[in-house]
Amino acid sequence: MSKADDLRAELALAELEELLVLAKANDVDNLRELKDKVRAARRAFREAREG
Amino acid sequence: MAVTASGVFFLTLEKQLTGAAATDPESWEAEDNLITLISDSATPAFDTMDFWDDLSANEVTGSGWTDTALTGTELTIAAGVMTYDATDISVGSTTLTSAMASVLRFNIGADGTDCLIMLHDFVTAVSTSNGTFGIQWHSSGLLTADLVP
Repeated sequence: MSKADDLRAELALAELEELLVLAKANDVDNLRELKDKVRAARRAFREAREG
Repeated sequence: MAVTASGVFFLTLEKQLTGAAATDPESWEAEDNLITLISDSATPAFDTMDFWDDLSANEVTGSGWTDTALTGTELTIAAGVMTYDATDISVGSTTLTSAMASVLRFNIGADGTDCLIMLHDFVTAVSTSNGTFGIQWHSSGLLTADLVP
């Protein structure tokens, strides 16, 4: 990935993490789908970082 | 005396699984559980230690760093594997000496009541000098457990 791709991936992950925190703060009932998205984004971002 | 492994503190897990009042209504997905740093002078005992005061004597303190909330916490499951994950830690302008592990605990309010959750061994001690202290969690998260072995 290019540096620009890295930054985009990091930003996308940060946005998803923020959504998760907001959803939890607002007692959203079913977080399963969002949590799975965050997990997948984290894994992809960190695997790329770890090389 | 040394930190030799990462792990989960069983007594807290047991309290949660059995619904013990000591941990009610604390949650692994709370957004205010605390990350603290300890030195290699500590000797974690995952079978017997239960509260932060068991390890607090070996806390690493320094300028720019205070106990930091672990946010973006989530428990997920895929293909029978439970994963506990959270947002990476990043705190700027810290000066810290020889942090050997992070300790995650419930934020109940006192050293003698904050239940220990888990510890991550850095393997190599970490120091900062007016710099960013960060923990980049593994791609598999803070913890995985195979529930369908």
